[in-house]
Formats: sequence, C-alpha cells, structure tokens
Amino acid sequence: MSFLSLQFLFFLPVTCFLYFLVPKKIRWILLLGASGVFYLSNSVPLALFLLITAFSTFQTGKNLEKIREETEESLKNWGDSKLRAGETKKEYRAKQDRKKRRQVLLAALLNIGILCVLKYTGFLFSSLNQALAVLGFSDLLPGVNFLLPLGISFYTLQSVGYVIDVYRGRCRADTNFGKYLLFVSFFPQIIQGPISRHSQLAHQLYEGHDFCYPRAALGAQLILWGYIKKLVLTERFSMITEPIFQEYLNYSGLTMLVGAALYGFQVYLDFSGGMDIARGISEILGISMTENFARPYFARSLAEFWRRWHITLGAWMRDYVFYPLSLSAPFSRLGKRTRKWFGTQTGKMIPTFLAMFLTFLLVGVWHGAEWRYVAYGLWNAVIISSSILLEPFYKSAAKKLGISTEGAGWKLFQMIRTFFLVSLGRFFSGALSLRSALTMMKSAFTVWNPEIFTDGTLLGFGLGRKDYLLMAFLTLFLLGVGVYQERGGKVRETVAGWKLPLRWGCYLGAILILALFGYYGPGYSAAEFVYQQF
Amino acid sequence: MTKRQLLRCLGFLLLTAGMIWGLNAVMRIPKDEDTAQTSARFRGLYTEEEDTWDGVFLGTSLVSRGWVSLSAWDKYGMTVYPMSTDGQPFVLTNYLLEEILDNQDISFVVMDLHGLREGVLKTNGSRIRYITDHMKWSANRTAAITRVLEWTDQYYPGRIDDSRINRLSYYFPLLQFHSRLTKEGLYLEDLIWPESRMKGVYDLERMEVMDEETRIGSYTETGTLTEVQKELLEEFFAYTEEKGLEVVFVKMPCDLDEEVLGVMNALAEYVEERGYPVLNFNDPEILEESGIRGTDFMDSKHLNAVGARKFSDYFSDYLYETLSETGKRTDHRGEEGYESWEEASENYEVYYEETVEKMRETYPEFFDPGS
Repeated sequence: MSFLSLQFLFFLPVTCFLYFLVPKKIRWILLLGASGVFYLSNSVPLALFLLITAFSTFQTGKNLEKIREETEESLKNWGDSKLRAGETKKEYRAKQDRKKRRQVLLAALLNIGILCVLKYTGFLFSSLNQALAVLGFSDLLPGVNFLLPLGISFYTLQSVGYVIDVYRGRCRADTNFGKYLLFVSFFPQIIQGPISRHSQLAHQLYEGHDFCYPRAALGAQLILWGYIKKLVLTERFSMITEPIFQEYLNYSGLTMLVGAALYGFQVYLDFSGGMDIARGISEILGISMTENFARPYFARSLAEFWRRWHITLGAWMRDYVFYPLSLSAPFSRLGKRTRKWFGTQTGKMIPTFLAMFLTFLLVGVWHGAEWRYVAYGLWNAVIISSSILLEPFYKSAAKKLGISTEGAGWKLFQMIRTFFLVSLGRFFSGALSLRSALTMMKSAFTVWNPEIFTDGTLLGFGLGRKDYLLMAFLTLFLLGVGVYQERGGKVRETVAGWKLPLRWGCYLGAILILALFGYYGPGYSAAEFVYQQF
Repeated sequence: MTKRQLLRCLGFLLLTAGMIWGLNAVMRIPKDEDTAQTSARFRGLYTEEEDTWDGVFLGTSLVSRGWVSLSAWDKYGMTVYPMSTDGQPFVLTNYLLEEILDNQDISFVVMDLHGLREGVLKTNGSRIRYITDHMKWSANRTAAITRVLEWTDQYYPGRIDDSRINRLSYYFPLLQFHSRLTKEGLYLEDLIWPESRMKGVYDLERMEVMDEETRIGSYTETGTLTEVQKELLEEFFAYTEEKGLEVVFVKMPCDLDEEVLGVMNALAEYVEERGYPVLNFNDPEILEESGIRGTDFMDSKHLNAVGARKFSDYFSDYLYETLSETGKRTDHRGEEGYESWEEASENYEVYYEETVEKMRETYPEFFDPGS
C-alpha cells in the first residue's frame, strides 16, 4: 500500500474514523495497528528489519536510561558507597559515559550496518569488481541487489537519532515497546519521512487526541494540495524530464538545462507533495509533524537551500554528524594545526569545511549507493564552501559595482543563481550514472540551441498544449502561494477564514482539478514517490 | 465537533459526491460520431414515452446499420426500437432487457444471431462500455458489469485487463476517462446526449457502395456449436420465458467466412429446434426474395442506406406475419402517444431521399435502387 494506492483511499478514512471512535487511552494502539497493516501490506518478511531496528534501539534506550539512573543513584549516595573506594566522581562519570557510548555505538553500528549491508553491498561489490578488473580479475564478487525494506533510510536515522537523544539526555527512553514501535513505524511518515525527533513526535502519538473540526479541515486541505502536487504536476513534469535523463544522448544544449531545472522542480513537487499528504493525515489525527520544506526555491544561497530543503535530514546530519565531527577532539587538533599552517582566518575554516564535506558526502550517499550520489553530495559541499570563501569577494565586487545587496533585484538574482546551481546539481541526482551526468553537463554548456523554445522540441514529450497551460497555471499558483508564505502569510488558515461559498468553491475547484487532471486510473499508473526509493 | 460543523461537513461531502457523480456521467466512453448513435438510442430508452415500444431489436453493428425501425412503423404501425450496440456482448442481453423493461413494456425481442459468433463473444472493454457506460446507475448496471467481467475472465481470460483499477473503471468510468479534457477532448454529445430524430435509425451517411458485387454469405452447410453458445442461448431463453417475452431470431445478411456462416446456420437450427422462429439470410431463397444484393452493402458486413431499407421492409413483413400468428401485433398509427413515430418517419423519408440522391451521384454505375 502507498499513498497512491486505491486501498489507501479506503484505509485512511477508516483509520481516522476508528481512531476517534476508540477510547482515548488506546488510540495509540489503533495507530500502531494501522501502521502495522500499512507496513505489512508492502512486505511481511522485510518487516523483520523494522522490528530489529525498533527492538535494538528501544532496548538501547532502556539500557541508557538504566545507566543514567544508576549513575544518578550512585552519585546521590556517593558518600555511602563502599564500592567506590579510590574512584573519583569524575572518573565514575567518565566510566558510566563510556558504558553509554558503547551502547550507542553498538546500536548505531547494528542499525546503520543493516542499512549499509542492504543498501550498499551491491554498490561496494560492483565498485570492487571494477577496481579488480583493472588488475586483471574479473567478476570476483557476485552481483548483489537486496530488496530494501520500505522506509529503511528514514526509520534507521530516526531510531539512531532517538538513541543519541537519550544518550544526550534530550529525551527520556521509552518503556513501552509497542509505543516505541509506533514512533518508528507511524504510517504517514514511514515511506519518506519526515525524520522526526522523539521529543517532538512521540508524546503526540502516545496521547489520544480529540477530533477537532477546524484542524481536520486544515489537514484535509494539505492532503488535497499534496495530491495535486503529486498527481497533477509531478507526473506531467516527469513526462518531460524522464526522456531527457533516460535518453540523454538524444538531447543536447539547453534541453539538458531545461530538463535539469524541471527535474529539480519535479522532485520538489513529488517530495513536498508526499510530505503534505503525510502532514495532512497527521493533522487530522491531531498530530503535528515537523515541516520538511520551507519553499527551497526562494533560497538565496545553496547553504540556505539546504536549510529549506529536506529540513529534517539536514537537521539530523547537522546534529548527529556535522557538529559531533567538527567539535570532536581530532577536528579540534586539526584546527589547531591548520591555524598554524594557514593562518587564523583560513585555518579555522578547514576543519569546518572538512566536516561539511563529510556530512554532504553522507547526504549524497544516503540518497543511494551510486557514484552519482557521491558526486551530488560533493557538488553541494564544493559550492557551499566556495561561496563561503568567496563571500568577501562578492561583497566587495558588489560594492564596487554599486549594487545594493539589500535591494529586491539583488535578492532575485541570488535566488536565480541558487536555482541555477541547484539545477546543475540535479544532473547528478537525476542522471542514470555519473558518466551520463557529466555527459549531460558537458552538452548543456557546449551546445547553444535556443531554437528549442520555438521549434516545438519542448512540445514533443507527449504533453499537449493544454497540459502545458495547466502546468504553467499551477506553477504560477504555487509561486504565488510561496510568495505569500514568504511574507508570513498562512495560506490554509487564510482560506479557512474565507466565507463559506468562496471557501467551498476553492476546495471543490481543487478536487475538480485533481479528478480531471490527476494521473490515476487504468493506464495512468503514477510513479511512486521519488524519495520512497531512498 | 458541533452540530453545525457536522452538518457543514455532510453538506460538503454531498456536494463533492454530487460533483464526482456528475463527472462520472460526462467522462465516459467518448461520444464520437459513431458512439453518439448508440447514445442517441439509449437516450431514447430513457426519454421515450413510457410503454410505447412493442419490441426491441438487439444485436451488433449489423443491426445498428441494418434495422430501420420506421419500416415496421410505416408498414404495420409496430414500434420495434433498435437497442443494438457495436459488438454487443451477448452475455449482457438479459441485463439490457432488464433495463428496457424498466422503461418500456415490450412484448417481444428480435435477436440477431451474430452476437453469438466467436469473434463477438470474445469481447473487449469498448464493447462492454458501449452498453454499461450508457446505462443509468442501478443495481442492474452493477450486476451487468460484474457478470460480464466474470464471464469474460472465465471464457476468454486476458481479454480484460485484470488490474483492480481497471475493473473499477467499468463501474466508475471517470477512473478511465477523466483525462479526456486534455487528451482527445470532450464532445458536446458527452454533455448532452444526442437525440435520435429517426427512432434509432443509424443516421450517419451510409452512401458507400462496395466497389464490386459483394459475395453475400448464402451458405447451407451447418457448423458446430460450442457449449458456451448453447449456455448463453439457454440463459436467454430462460430469462425471456420468465419475463413472458416472445423472441424472434434473425441472421442478418452479411459476408463472413464460411466457417462462421456454418456456425450461424447451426445457431439458427438450434433455436428453431427449441421452437423459436428464425429468419436466416444464409438461406439463398430468402436472400433472393429480399432483393438484397452486393451493392446494398457499405462494406462486407454492413448494409448501406438502401440495403437497410430493403432488409427492414422485408423483415417487417416477416415479423408482422410471425407475430400475428401469436397475436402480438398491434397497429399504433394514429394512436395518442405515438406522434413522435409519425414525425420520425417523415424525418427518415427526407434523410433517405437525400442519401439516395447522393448515392446516385457518386455511384451511377452501381446504383439502381429500384432493382
């Protein structure tokens, strides 16, 4: 079952109805049951991996809690203890901390290990085979392609994040495995996130919520909007981008750039549409989920883009990879050395950049086990590092040219520039391989063919003029909504505040658009969400 | 949730359901020029004065193009409305009759045997939709869809895509045809079903004449029937007996492989043995007596306007004689409630004269309607 399946159309209202029907105390059990049905409908055997992750991290959390309580108890009764002879409180704390770290490390290794084995073994083996082939050994390692459990990349990070949060004392460990299993497997988020924090989500899942009509209406709005993004827009964009990326040798020049730009937009609509559906469902149930997108295409730098795009992954990487790395002892030592070698200004940046490169490398690899994703991560790291390094130069250049960096024109330029850089990065994430990505990039910058905008090339993707008109209309609408939100407007609340005829007209219009222009039904099987495959 | 909110919520759901319902009525099998003929016939089923039909003529495109209901009207004042559709799946006959009986108190059914040949039994989605997409929502429609899908799966597996969404699309055509707005577009006929000005007579120009004398299938050998054909016929007999409907069979004139013509003869024999009257145009004598010849066809199977008139005049006589034997004949000419038949008859005469005129101009070498 997925958000796009027919079964889900029945599953969702039934789940919501039953949720508010059963007594509050057991509503979490109903959610757990629904999540179980949702997950098991995709694959029963692969659910074992989810259970292993849930159980191991749950148990680790409990162990950490036990060690914490033991430590607190011992420290409280430090004077009474006869066993602590010769050991200072500091030493004891450090010992206990080492115990906790071991627990965290073990859980992280186990779960990230499972993820790596399932997701990256094939990539590793094929890369090794390629390397060994150079030495004259061919196909020493077998080709491996494991079936990936649904949402493994998301629930693994969420579970490992939970363990680290318990270790850091940011949340208390769960004592009820059923409840914790719900936190890991909550059906709206299991497919493609958001990667939630325990402190933010868990308590909402465990406590029963009353039905709230205005909130449910807002949730339903969001679901509708999500489906329009996915079924009306994404699928049409993909009809243009798929041929360009799949049959890239048939295209050249500006078509490549248009393809990359549209692909970026397509992925945004696909992913954010899925998020809207997930958040909308949660909202109906009274659960507020973290936002994963904040209008990324309004970002004025790549760094800002990543603060607006897949926010929960960025935050996870920042909190559990980037900061721990850049604040770690080896990086501190490296910083000291680089400051000596390159001077304070540049020297202090080097460990930060190194941590950033590693983080983005992980971000890239998290998307998939392919060299193009490695390149995708590194592309982002290189652009962000260079923009930080070149920032003083940009500022002085703007000053010399008399450009106001506070003006709307400059901001618009920055947005377009960021959009361009993001689109270039899409060559890596969207192409079939690293080689094809590079070929596409090369073609994009070596062939000048502006005639594609007038000779009908862009109309040759199986879409009619009406489709293009619809896409243009909805994209402009989306842009308008984005501008309104950027200015602090709350679209859904605003619509909900309109007079009934206008409001209902708006809702019915949206349903009509979805019903008439959505990609569903026989012969219109919409592709699954892009991020579901990660 | 307050009472007001609940009412609003229900109101919105009702509006949404109404909108989807409306879309489902419009977004159906595209009513292009050809399908619009079927739409017009079905519109007649739902809008004609109640209980003014004496009988219906069922069958495939051969009947649609060949039966001029106004011949029987002009000659005998009988109202025999064509409810044929292209490739009409025989398994849907009883459901179609059920739909007809809900609106018209018919006393007899004329059935063309071509619907039972293998090529037609091996149905497809469009042929099913010609009927089900034109039926109003009802338990009968639902039962018809379920039956035809199950039956096709049983006897011709793979003919209908077995994905759940495709199956559902027969019940809810919107699932299949929602994207028509951006694809082939909508016809005015999708929104407003066309009206038949000539009581279901196929009113597209049928002035084509086969270049050569078509070998009309007069054939006397008898083929063999399959169990499926027999089962379907028995089902049909049982239903019409239960409803008290008299049945007259016909094997329409057309050219087919000898093997198929043999099966047609076997079917004619089978129904005759069961006591049903049958007019078999495979019989050279009947063919000759009717005066139908090769140039009366627009292609190897379908009669042109002149051929349709010849067939209908001949068959009306046969029907009149056959039915009068069992006392089902009624002359409605001049009766109140049948004015529309008079009007349709006038329309048909104008249409026929115009068509014949064009045929004369186009095919002077073949055309001699008097012969």
